[in-house]
Amino acid sequence: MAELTRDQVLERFRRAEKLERADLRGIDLAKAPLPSAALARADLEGANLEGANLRGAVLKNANLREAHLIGADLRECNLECADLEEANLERANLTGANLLRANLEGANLTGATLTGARLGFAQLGTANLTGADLREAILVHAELAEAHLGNVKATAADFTGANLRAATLTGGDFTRAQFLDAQLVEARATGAKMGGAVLRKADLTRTDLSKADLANADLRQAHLAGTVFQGATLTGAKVAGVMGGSANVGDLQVTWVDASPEGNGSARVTDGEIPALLGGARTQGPGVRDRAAGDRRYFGRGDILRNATLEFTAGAKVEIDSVFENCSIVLGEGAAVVVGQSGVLADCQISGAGDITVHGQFFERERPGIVGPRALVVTGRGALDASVQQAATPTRFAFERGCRLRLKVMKASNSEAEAEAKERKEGRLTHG
Amino acid sequence: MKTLLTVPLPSLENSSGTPAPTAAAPTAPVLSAADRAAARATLSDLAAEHVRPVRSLMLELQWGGSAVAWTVAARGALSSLRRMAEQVEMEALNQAISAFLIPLDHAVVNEFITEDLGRQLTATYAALVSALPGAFELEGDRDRREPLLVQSVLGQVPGLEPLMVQRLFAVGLGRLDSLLRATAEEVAVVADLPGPTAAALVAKAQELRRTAGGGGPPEITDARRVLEPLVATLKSQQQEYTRAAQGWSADNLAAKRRHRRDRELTFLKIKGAVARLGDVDFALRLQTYSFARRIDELEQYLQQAGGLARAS
Repeated sequence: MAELTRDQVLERFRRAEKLERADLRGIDLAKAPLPSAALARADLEGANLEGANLRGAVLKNANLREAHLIGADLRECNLECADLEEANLERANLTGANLLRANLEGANLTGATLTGARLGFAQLGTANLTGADLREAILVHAELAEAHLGNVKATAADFTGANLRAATLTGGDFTRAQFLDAQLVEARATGAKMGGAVLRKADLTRTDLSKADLANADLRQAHLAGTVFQGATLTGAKVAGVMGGSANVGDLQVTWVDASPEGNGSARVTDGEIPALLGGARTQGPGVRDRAAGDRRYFGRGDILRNATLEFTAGAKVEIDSVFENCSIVLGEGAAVVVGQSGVLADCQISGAGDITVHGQFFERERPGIVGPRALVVTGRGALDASVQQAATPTRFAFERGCRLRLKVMKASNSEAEAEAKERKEGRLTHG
Repeated sequence: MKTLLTVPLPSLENSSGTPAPTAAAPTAPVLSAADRAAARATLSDLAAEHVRPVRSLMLELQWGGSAVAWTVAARGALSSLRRMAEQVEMEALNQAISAFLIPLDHAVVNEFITEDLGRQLTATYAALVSALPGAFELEGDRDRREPLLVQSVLGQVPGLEPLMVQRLFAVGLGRLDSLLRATAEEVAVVADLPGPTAAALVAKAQELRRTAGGGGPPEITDARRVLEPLVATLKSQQQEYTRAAQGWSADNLAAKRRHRRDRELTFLKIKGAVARLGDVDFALRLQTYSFARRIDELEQYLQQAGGLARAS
């Protein structure tokens, strides 16, 4: 228990004495007036500080584990590296507080005010921040896995590089917030306000953004595999270079998105093409060309794409770990498509002067299943059942030992009738 | 400042309900008006704590259970209060107690409270409130106990997230009576909860009703029987948590989170049980402590409960 009583602490404070490193475990300092108190490295584990005035106090490196801080005034407090694991900070005022590298794992911050607080690298895993005010708070690289951020006000907050895996952001206001490089895998952000938010390079794999407002949000190079956009508003969103596949884009509220790599609105794409664009590709339409040449696309494991026609321009890099059924893929000059180990292309066709690498499986719909490839590589675990129609420039083939092939190689289409190779190979082959 | 009491009052410790033998009873002194007023004021103060089982009975009844578990304790409390009321000549209170004891005695004998008996208890209770409001009014007690019980119920429902809890309160499902009346379908629609979560919530609330009487076990009034196993569980969970907290691996972190949740669940049960026992102040105080201290305090509480049980 504490080495000092409440009265002794207050007396020392009155005499402007420091309380640094003091053993104050379990002490009852409810409603105590301790503004600007010097409590660095103090041990306040399990202390009752409900309603205490600690404005401007120095609690750097202090131990406040399981402390009871409901409604405490902690404005402009220095809580850097403080241990607040499982502390109850319900309705506490932490405006402008320094919580850099603080441990708030499992803490209760329901309804707390954290406006402008600095929470860089703070540990907030499983913390409850429901209804908290995080406006302009800095949470750069903060750990927020499984945290509850429902109904928070986080306008212009900075979550750059933060881990929000499986966090709840439902109904929160994240207008103009920064999520650059943030992890939002399996986060739930239904109905969240994210207008103008920066989600560049954010991992939104399986994130639920149903009914979210993403108007003018910056989603460039974000990972969108399995992301749910059901009923979301996306008008004006920047979407160049998004990676992923089979995002759920039903009932989108959108008139246009910006596909320009610079995000300057110079490449507006209208709504008919947007669903495929968010899925990592674009449906083929009259006169449509992919302006985002050289983009990388990733179709993630577990997704299924059926009856689609996908077009990738010169230099595009495409990796498929999804299941494609009855799809046509058109490759521009030098585009590279890699069918990953989990990828299955069933009843599909690939055409164009691209490079094809098969680690997974490819089955053609009708002959020729592959038309005019520049290179075709099937690696040791790959399987390919297709006819290959070569272009004028012969295709370069490479088959790794152990691959499974049922292959027919045909010459360029003008001499198709004289196809020189009608070999049909099965089982283990070396080079073709 | 109250007038100094010069008249000896009967002890309220004896809640057994056994009437004192009249032959051995001392002759009651004649009270002056001032003494009587002072004695009544003291009675009113003491009675508030003394008749807690009666309020518990009525609160359980209001929440929807038959509250039979509290009948014996309530009867004992009222019997001793009646003796005291006689001595300080509080005739209205005396009559109100007698009227209330009629349906209560039926409940004690039958170990069951029928709907009709419940109505009789409610009707006769009004006279008790009117005779001694400081002791019998339910609003204050209900307002303190109910949030703790609701917290305890809601916190134990798997999948019920903080936002859902907010929605429940917003639509008026933050009160026990409404929670106990609601069906899973109603909760799902009104509070926009997933079906399984709504069903789990209703089931958890009904558990409260099952342990509220209606032929159910009477242990909700027995602190030791209710709390001892829970405190033992909490203690072992605290040890597990401390062990997991010593490591830094991902497994340790996951284990720590799991034990933290387990520990919290057990504490919610304890908090609900303590509130139901009527020790609201203790339940509220426990919330402000660390888990280690909660365990210490609970063990002391149980020791005292054991001591009281032995003494009675």
